[in-house]
Order: sequence, then C-alpha cells, then structure tokens
Amino acid sequence: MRVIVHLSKFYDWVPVPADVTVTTSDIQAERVKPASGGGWLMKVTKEATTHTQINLGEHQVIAKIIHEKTRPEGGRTFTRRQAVAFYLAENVMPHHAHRLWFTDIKVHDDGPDLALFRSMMGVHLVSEAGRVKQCIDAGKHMKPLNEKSGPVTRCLTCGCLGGPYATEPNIDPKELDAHVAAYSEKVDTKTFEDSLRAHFKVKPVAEVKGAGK
Amino acid sequence: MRTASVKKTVAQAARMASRSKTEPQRYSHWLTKVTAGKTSKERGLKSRTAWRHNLTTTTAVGYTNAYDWLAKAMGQGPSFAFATAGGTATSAGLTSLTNTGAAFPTAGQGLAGSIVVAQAAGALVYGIIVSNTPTVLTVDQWYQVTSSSGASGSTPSGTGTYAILPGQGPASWMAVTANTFAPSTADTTLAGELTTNGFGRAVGTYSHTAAASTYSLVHLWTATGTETINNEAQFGACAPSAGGVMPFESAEPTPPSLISGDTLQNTVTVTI
Repeated sequence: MRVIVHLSKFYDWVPVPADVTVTTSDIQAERVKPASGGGWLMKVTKEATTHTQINLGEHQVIAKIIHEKTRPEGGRTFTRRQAVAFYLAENVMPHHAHRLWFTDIKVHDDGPDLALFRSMMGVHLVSEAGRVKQCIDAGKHMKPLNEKSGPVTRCLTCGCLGGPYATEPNIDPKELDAHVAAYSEKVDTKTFEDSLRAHFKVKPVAEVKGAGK
Repeated sequence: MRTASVKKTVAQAARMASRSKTEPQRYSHWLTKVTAGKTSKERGLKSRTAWRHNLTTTTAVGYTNAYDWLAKAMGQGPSFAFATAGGTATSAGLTSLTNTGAAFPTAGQGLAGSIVVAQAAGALVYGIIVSNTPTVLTVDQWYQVTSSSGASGSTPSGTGTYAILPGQGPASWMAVTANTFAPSTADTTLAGELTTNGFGRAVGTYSHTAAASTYSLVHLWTATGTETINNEAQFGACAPSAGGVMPFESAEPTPPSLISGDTLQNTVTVTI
C-alpha cells in the first residue's frame, strides 16, 4: 500500500548552533540527534506545501493488528483501515509532521493478503511452551549443529533459550475468525481515504492555520 | 599580548586529512522502542532509547561498503550498459540465472547490487545480484514484483529473457541480533542475526517527506519467545545467507529484553 499525506508544514533536522547547550531532556525528548564530528542536529518545523510518501508493506499492516491485540492496554480487533491509521499515527508520521498539518490523504491500496495474514497470525496462536514441545516431539530440540560441536545454549530449530516459557499464546486461537473477518473487510479507495481523513481530523488546506504562508 | 594564529594552507590541511579517518557525510540514526505484551509485568512503553548515531560501514571491502552502495544507488550503478545486460537465459535456479553465452563483467565488484528482472511462468520476477561470474548471476532470491513485503516468487524460466537494470537495489531490510559486540566500519554481516522467535529480517516501511533531508525506515516485530536485542543493521538483501550490502549497523546502548508478546519498534532515519 502506498499512502501520500499532504502537508502544510513538516519536520526537518538542522545543525544545532555552536552557542546552544544540548541538555539530557532534549535528547530524551528526541528533539536532537547526534550529527557527525560530535555535533548535534535539532528537529525544526518548516512551512511548505509538501507531502510524505509512505510505502507500507502488507506485512506491517498485519504486524500492527498483532501489536494492537497483544498489548494489554489495547486488545482491539483492528480492521485494515484502523491498522493503517494507527500505524501512520504511532509509527511513521511523528517523524514527519504533526497531524494538525495534514491537508489531505491519498491511498493506493491493493487489498488484503489473507495468506500472509494467516501465516503471520499463526505463530502467535501457539504458546512459546507449545512451540518448544513441538520441537521436542520432533526430536530436534537443543540438538548440537553436528557431532563435533558442543552443547548449544539456543535451540537451532525453535530459537528458544532454555525457558521459562510463556504458556499462553499471544493471541487466543478462538479469536482468529473475528480477526480474519475484520482484516478481510473490503473497502474502496474513497472510503479508505475518508476514514483516514476522519481519523486524523484532516481539514481542507484553506482551514489549516498558516497554510500557504 | 595576543599571538596571531598561524593558519594552515589548504595543501597542509589536505595532507593532514589524508592521514585521518574520513568522517561520513551521509549517516543514519537508530531509535528503539519496546511496548509490553500481555504477559509482561510492565505496561505501555517497556523501554526506549534516544536517537543514536549508527555506524556506517565505510571500510568494508567491496559491495557491502556503504559508500560504494550510496555511489551506485545515486549514480549510475554497476550495470552500465553492456552487450549481455539483456538476453536469454540458458538455465535458472532458486538463486541463480545462467546465460552460457554471456560475458557479465566481473572486475571490481562485478554486478553486485544490480537488479535483474527475469521471466517466470506467467509473471516477471526480479532478484538482487549478490555476486556473478562471466556467465552466472547469483541473486538473494527471486521476488514477486507485486509483493509489498519482499515475498519470494517463482524461479524464472530456464529459457526466458532477462534484463539487468541500471542503479542499485535498495537497502530497506532490517535485522537484529542477540549477539554482543562492538560494530565495526569493516563489518559485512550482522553476527548471530536472529531468524527465530519472530525476529527474522524484514522490509522496513519507507517514508520520506518531499524536500526534507532524511528518509525513514520502521519495522514492528512482535516476539514469540524470549530475546535480548543487542545490535541491529540494515541490509540490501532478503536473508542472512544471501549477503548483500550492509550500510549501517548499530549497537543497543541499553539492550532491551523481550518476552513473548512484547513488540519491538525499530526506526532508522538516514540523512541524505
């Protein structure tokens, strides 16, 4: 999926002047980042009519659905539209622009990939302990690389480090059907764009304070 | 009494600079955030780092050197036109394409980094060339041209046509490792790169604002097992076994530990 977010302002990075002191709180607040030669770059706002292009792989749309479901304060069953909106809001756009500067959003969407969805969800429907048991049952668990190599500290097959293992799956298998239904929701481009505009409360360009200055 | 400072000449400064390490003018930063899963005792953001300067692989030999990759990506690339840049394959495999009548350039870095497009049954596929002989191209994998996730496609026809394109494949794959080490400008691989517990190499989400001086890659991994992340890197190929350019590498200042259900968000910004 390709998303274009039209903007009236954007963030950029410029060198911190020599007479400015960079504090720990500046660093922790991500207002600055180190430049070459021991200098610093600071986040600045630039006014211009521009756009951010986001090439959002379908695997990351699905990753956001899984992320939302696995976090304790989340737990919602996202549709694709919701996953895209929250991915843009939390993981991409904070590096490019404040949402108040959005003037429009355009989407090129090729639709859901159900095979990829089932494949990515599948590993989260089995607990870590269950996965280790499968590895033990297959006779592959913690086997050395060959006869000459010593004992391993990480299973070469399942990647486990020797426990303790989580006994609950990240996502309850009973919820898979609801996830598939939500993910498979079919929407046309206009509906997709309208829902993103509504999510970000996008105002037409004339209404954005400072737009066009 | 003020002493007048003696200024160096350009020739003197150039001689001094020739003996010192070149400071990268193109560089990148890494940002790591971990959000807690349901089984964590924590809630919300479990750990986060400030922006940190990545190490740029400026002394790595050959194709994996960041400078070489940047030059080829922004300039013409290794595949400057030559007679057998387009032709007909005589055989093809899972990661190779052969034209026994070809004369692929091998001097220097050969065609490493170029993209070859080939004909498979019912569809076109492409691969990133990681090495070549005069008659055989080795690619990281054959990609579906329609996949936004870097999914593998069919093996090309052993008698189909192919074209090697100018330019260089992008370095948008992101990878992590639990191994502890200090990154080096000569590194060509990420030692002990993770492939299990949900942390396989993956294509980052690219974003760029027109006229801004950086572009970003971001990726979310949700753990299916226990891991501690100590180092990260960017790659131009799909798998640890495939090689490929590794322009940037980064060590975690405070390595985050994740358990099943925790989510790791890695963000890379590259200053152009």
